[in-house]
Amino acid sequence: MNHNHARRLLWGIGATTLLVMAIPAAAQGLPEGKGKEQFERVCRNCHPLDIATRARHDKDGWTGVVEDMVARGAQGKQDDMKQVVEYLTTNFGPNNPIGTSTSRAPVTPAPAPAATPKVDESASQPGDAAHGKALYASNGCSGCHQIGQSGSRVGPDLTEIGGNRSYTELQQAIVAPDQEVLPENRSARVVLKDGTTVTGRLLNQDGFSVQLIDSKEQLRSFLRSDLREYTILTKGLMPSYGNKLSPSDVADLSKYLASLKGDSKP
Amino acid sequence: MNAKVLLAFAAAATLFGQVTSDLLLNSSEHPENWLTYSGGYFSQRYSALDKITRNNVKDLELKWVWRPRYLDKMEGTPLVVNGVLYTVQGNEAVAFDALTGRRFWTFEHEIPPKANAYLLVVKGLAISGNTLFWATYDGHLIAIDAKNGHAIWDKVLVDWHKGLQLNVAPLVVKDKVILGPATNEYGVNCWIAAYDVGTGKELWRFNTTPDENEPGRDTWPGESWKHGGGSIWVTGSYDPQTNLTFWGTGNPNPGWNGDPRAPGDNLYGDSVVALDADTGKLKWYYQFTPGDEFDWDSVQVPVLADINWKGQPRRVMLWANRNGFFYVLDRESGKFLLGKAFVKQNWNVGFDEKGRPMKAPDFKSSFEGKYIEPGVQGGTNWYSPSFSPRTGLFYISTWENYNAISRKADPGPWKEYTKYAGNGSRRAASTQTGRINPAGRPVPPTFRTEGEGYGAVRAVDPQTGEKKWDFKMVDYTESGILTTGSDVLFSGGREGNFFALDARNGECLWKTSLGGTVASGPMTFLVKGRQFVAVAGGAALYVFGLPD
Repeated sequence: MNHNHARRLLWGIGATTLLVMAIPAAAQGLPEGKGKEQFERVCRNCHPLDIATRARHDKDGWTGVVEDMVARGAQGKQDDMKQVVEYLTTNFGPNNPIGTSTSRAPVTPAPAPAATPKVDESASQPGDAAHGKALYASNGCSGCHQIGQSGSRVGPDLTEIGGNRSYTELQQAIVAPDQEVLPENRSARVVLKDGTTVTGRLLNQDGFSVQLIDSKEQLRSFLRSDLREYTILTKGLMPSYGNKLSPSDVADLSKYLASLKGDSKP
Repeated sequence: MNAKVLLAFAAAATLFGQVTSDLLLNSSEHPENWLTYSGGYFSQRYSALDKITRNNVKDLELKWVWRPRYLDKMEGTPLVVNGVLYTVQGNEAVAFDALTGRRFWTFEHEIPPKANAYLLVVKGLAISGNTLFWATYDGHLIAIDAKNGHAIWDKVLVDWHKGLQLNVAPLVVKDKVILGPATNEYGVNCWIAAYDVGTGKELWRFNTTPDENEPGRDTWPGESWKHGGGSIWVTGSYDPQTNLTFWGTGNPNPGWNGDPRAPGDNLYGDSVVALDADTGKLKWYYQFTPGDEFDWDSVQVPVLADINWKGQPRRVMLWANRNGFFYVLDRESGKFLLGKAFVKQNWNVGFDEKGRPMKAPDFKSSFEGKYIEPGVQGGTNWYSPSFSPRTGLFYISTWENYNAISRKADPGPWKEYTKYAGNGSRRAASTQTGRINPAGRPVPPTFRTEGEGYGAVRAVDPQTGEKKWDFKMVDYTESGILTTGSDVLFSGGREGNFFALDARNGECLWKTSLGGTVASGPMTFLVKGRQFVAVAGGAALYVFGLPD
């Protein structure tokens, strides 16, 4: 799904639930750039933005700060957090001038993790990405998934899947898709009081409402008080291709998916 | 000042009323007013007003909105005295006609940008007679004439260059205005002090980290007491019967690494202290989290209540702590009566007969990361709770199932105006592991599932500490809670909703969206026979009432 498009639609849903005027975020002289919107939206919820913009860190430092904030309850999608880190690193990196702000102690870097980095492991994995691409088309994957501008928004967007999931994880997702469903990819089933049932990918929820994208790619918003039933689904969303594809086809498809790193151009 | 403004003053002149000591002592008999941060000396955030009922609350409509010049999250609670609403945000204290939102005056205090060492929050004002008191981030205590918004006196209490600030709403008791500074992890020792309402002269002081020759100093090994912290950042309470004022204290420093201050309990960090309001002398204390390493400040509002306890009338204090436990203490003696977890927790295996918590054997901060329940923000935090004498229930803004992995780091030697926290990166614990971000670090989950933490308004029976009901949200909540004489409960959360519940069973009666996180305590007042409810959402103050 095109992120900007989706966000506009989501904002549209949110606006209908507002009973009083929405308050525009004050720009207050923030530098323009990719990730500004995410930075304002995610961070302002809990603290003044200048708490962040008065500090200077490199990418590692900002990653640590954002992780810290997530531990403190900051809310956003993984991609939002990535954008926030990039925005802060670009505009508030070690070499950016501090302006009128005070100097601050650097954040103590966290110790190196014990885990083995999986970055770029796909290069050494078997498979034929070109054949994988053909399999993607012939098996109708785009009926639910989107890559770039083509495909459906019903299932998870795969445009950058190779940057987020490893080759091994992708293999597993093709053969046993129920094994690990990321929270952002869960679906939900709602049953209205008149018995109408709607199933779709869960986009958002709060104490009073639920937002889905249904099987026809329509964005739907429901008040919980209008529902007879509301169930979050983590099983049976995608069929297993373990019996439909040979192991070497699974490897080829995984190789292709692992190669999808997105288009950095806006 | 133009003629129009003067005219407004003339029209309003009779509205500006004296807030005498008697009025403060008997605030519950004058529910048309809201006279302290928590509504009265017992800090119950309960009002006897009952014009807004469980039946008509659904008809509430927006009456007026104040949009301050300063556009960040508002955490303050306004005061209302005889139809005039006073509040503060950013660089300005303001007075409004509480009925219409028409502004009477604005008092501005420029704050040097560098003084905003950490959070730019202010919890509110205090009032005595016709004088308002504003404690500013940059360390001033300013007495403001409530009639015209002019400064009467302006005292610098702390030097922000040393890593201290003021953000609490002061508490007026008799001829004293009581408050203390916060250090925001800069490791500067803090205190609670009383200042003369007429002159600002300091009358007494209690050090929340003991000085060299004071009792409690032996709970700090070596020189560690010199940078112990003990911040004050939430308003205390007052019991006229015993003349005691009660205050919750912040964490010891360095907050996430206890090594420099071990072994020891690090008094009076994470405690409640009961002080004689005339002398500041310590009558008793109770430490909720001895030797804390997880930032579990005890800066909650001390809620006082006169209840039946085991069949006998008893004067108690009710306290839901950041460490995840709900406490009942005898407020005359400090005796521990009950301690019961109100959220999932993994640090305390029980209490000894004196009420001292027994820490789980392996519950120690580590460089690799320690899994903690509740997480660093706690099972609750500074969010104002409420006690309704009508339902007998205690209401908590809670973070349930919330956890974190807390890492300590070497804080190095203490340096002035430098964080002395000793924390490594903290992240949310989760079932999802193995994802690696571009910096090569495991990726924390940015989406919680419902089981991995949620916010709730939780009603607890003080007799047992047992949950009576929950009103669940998806996101966490930083909102305070208000209860009223008609058993209506008002609260909100980070989702931006503001809602009314039936205080008896948690049923939702009304809701609206404020377009921004609700991180303040709602309050209520009455003007010309009409009841209003005020709450801040995002960067604006909203006032709701029934249709005219």
